[in-house]
Amino acid sequence: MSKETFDAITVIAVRKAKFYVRSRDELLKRVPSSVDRDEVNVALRKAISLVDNSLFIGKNETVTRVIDPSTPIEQLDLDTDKIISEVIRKLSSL
Amino acid sequence: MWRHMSTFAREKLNEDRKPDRVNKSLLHGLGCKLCDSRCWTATGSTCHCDCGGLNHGGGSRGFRTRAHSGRPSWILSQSRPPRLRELHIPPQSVGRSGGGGLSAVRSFLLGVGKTALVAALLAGLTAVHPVIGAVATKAYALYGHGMAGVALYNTYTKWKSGELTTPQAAGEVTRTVTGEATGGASDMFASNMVTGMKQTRVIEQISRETNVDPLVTSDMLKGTISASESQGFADLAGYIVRSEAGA
Repeated sequence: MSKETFDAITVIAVRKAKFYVRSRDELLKRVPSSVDRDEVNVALRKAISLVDNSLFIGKNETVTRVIDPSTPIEQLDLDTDKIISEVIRKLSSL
Repeated sequence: MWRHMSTFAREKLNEDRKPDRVNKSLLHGLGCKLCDSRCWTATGSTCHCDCGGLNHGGGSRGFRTRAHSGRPSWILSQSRPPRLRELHIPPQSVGRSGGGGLSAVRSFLLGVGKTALVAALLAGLTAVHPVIGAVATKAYALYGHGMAGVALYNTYTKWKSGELTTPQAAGEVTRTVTGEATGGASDMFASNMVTGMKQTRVIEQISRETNVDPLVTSDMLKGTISASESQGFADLAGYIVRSEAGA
């Protein structure tokens, strides 16, 4: 693995982590109290981490082929619907 | 002889002698909807039994590959899988790959530890399209994974029914099979890499800079590296298919 690939993967992993933190809070609000929250967290973390990396690269970044780690996830114009459907697909296959 | 045999060995022997009866009674006991000749000869996608259409057009042997919820998959083996010597590899399967390809597939099929189901699927795929079959065989042989068999079977049936064109089938085989088949290898690579990053305190540093919990960071890195590696394998396999098929 080259240094450039490693750097890009690290940035994408951090973006996934931030996406996880946001979606976890949303998800936990809807989960009944009887469900084990730790179990939900672990499954969600695993599912998000395995989602296709290209979904966490902004449209501008794809055009310029430069990933800027300082860009906040909200400004990336990510296809959130596609990410969520991928996460659900991964969750069902875990 | 019976006196010296353990109960388990006796049961196993009986099961081997009458596989259909034993497995069917188990299945009835569990409330499963068994496949029958209506399912095995069906050509459409509507299915009224537990296979969900996977056994359609499979002939009287009837593979069952989809696991039923909450039950171990081995219980669902409705009839015994075909033995290797029963597999028919037609002569036209030599195709553009030449005789070398066929002998490689044949020797792979005879390899110890490969399930008869996957072997049958690979043989069928190779017979229909030698290039896809050769790549799929290599992928399975290299990374060995049970899910590869299911993915191959699905692609093969779609290709056979005309749902997928040859280039589409090639794309699907490379994407799905390499994704499934290389999952274990990629996970292991990712896990080793993250362990190294923990030891060198790289994860701690990333977490500090990004204000993300170290546990979350390491989990995300593991999955992201694994997904990246799987994609790399898929791209490589896609390149091989495209160059061999001249697409």
